Amino acid sequence: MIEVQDLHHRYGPLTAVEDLSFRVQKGEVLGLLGPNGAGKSTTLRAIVGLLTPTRGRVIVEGEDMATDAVAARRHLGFLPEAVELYRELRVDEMLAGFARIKGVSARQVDAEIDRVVEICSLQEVRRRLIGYCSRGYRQRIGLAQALLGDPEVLVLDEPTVGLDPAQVVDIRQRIAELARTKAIILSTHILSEAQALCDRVLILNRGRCVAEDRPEVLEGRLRGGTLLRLVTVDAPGDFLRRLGELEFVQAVRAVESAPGGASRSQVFQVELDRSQSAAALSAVVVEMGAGLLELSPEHLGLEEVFLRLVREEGQ
Amino acid sequence: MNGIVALARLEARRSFRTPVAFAVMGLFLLVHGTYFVSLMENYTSSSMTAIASGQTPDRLNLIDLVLQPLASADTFLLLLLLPGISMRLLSEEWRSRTSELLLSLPLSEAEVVWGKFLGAALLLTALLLLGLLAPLSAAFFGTVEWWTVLAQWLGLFFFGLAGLAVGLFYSSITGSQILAYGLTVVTLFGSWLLGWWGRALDGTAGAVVSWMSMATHFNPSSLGILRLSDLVFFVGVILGGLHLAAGVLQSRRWRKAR
Repeated sequence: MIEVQDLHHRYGPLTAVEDLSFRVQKGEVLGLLGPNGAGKSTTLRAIVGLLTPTRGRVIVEGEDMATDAVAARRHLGFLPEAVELYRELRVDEMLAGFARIKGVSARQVDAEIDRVVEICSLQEVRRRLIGYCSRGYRQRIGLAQALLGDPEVLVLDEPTVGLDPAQVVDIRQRIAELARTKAIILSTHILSEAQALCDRVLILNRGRCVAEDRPEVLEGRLRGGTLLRLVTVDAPGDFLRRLGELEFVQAVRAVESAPGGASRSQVFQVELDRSQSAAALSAVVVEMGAGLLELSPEHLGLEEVFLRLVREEGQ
Repeated sequence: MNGIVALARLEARRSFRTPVAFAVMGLFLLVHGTYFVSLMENYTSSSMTAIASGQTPDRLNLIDLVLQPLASADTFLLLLLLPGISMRLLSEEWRSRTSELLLSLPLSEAEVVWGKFLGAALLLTALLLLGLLAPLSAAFFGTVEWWTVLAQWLGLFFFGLAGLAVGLFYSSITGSQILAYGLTVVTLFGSWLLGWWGRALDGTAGAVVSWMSMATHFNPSSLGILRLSDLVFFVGVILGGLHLAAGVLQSRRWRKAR
């Protein structure tokens, strides 16, 4: 378990993090979400002891980072943002060195490397020079070194940044598997990532926590109703107006771009009073004589969530 | 302690993967070997002359004519080459941002510094062991006093360790390896010059300035005399350099860990 109490950090006159407190239990993933400069990295650096905060405490498995950083770091695995590794070493050499530093006994080192290589699927590059590994592999090696010594807490700073889509899915899957047995804190600026991985999300703005909840609750709270994407074909001329007049439709707007360039199709964003109204909507669309191509839930982007939160906070 | 040893091993392994380590060793062996051969030539020709003129060559021994000047030259070589090893110890970590991983490991600042230092000390040991080829081959041409050779070796070793500690400190304060190299060479060379300035000055001031010179504390060992006070001086420089470097690491946590 990891606990952050009243964390506060200033860089000269600039306040990077202000009065931040949270706790992450084993089996839980907490996402720190926010735009660049929101204080995510500063928070993570303070958690792993790379930075001594101006005020506040970080307690990892009962060890206070301020009084015994070495003991606290023994329970931590850290993957820095865009991790840099010792490129002149082979993957197994670096992992062996780090395992020994993390206190894995000489006899256990090989078994420990086998374990993390297995989890991160590094068998293919195990004896390759790190400098010759792709970005995706280097990220996995970074994750593998964080897992050495089987720490209870994992801290992952933007774990999928700079990866291609296949690698992103791969890393997310590995994190989701690890989440069962560890307390994980990860930072991201991608809402869908937080939704895919996190049990709880903490949204930061200028170093302050502006919201903390389950990702779907946050999104739902911000939206009020249910947001759907509606794609029709051959809709009648007054379709948009008639949709807007429906009792259970709170808002509707036409989205300009039609997918696939099919000129007869139209895309709309419809906000309903509750999710059950989707069935009624589909019936009405067909009744109006339009072809129903797609009706799916629409997610808010981080930008929108963030802007709404900041606006909410301002009010 | 295990953490220090593990980091030292990792560091030594990394050193031997970089061209700098091989360049340093190659240059050392080249200059050291060339100078040794020329000293040996001088020694054999002096011996021949002495024998031809019927003198007993009792003043002609390998220590005075070959190994002592060689050890003095070695200190000068180390002064130029060791900063090449020490410059990358921490500077490279800052520059390439691998420091984030290093400093998130369960090691204290002092342990990081000691691990790095011992890793570099392994390289120094390898370098000086290769240097022993000189007295070993000289032993074919005459009698070598091995205690003197041992004293010279230990003198060079402690001199080298002190140089590495100074270099490690400079490496901790900058991400530029060139700057770390330059500052270390200037400091070590300055310390060398203090010995000469000390001799030029009279009285207590001269003695104090002289005492501050690394050369002053190395010279007795080049003649085969190991003095506790000299070893204490070198150990002091080592502990001081490492302590300062650990302090710099600590202060980086207070500022920004990059």
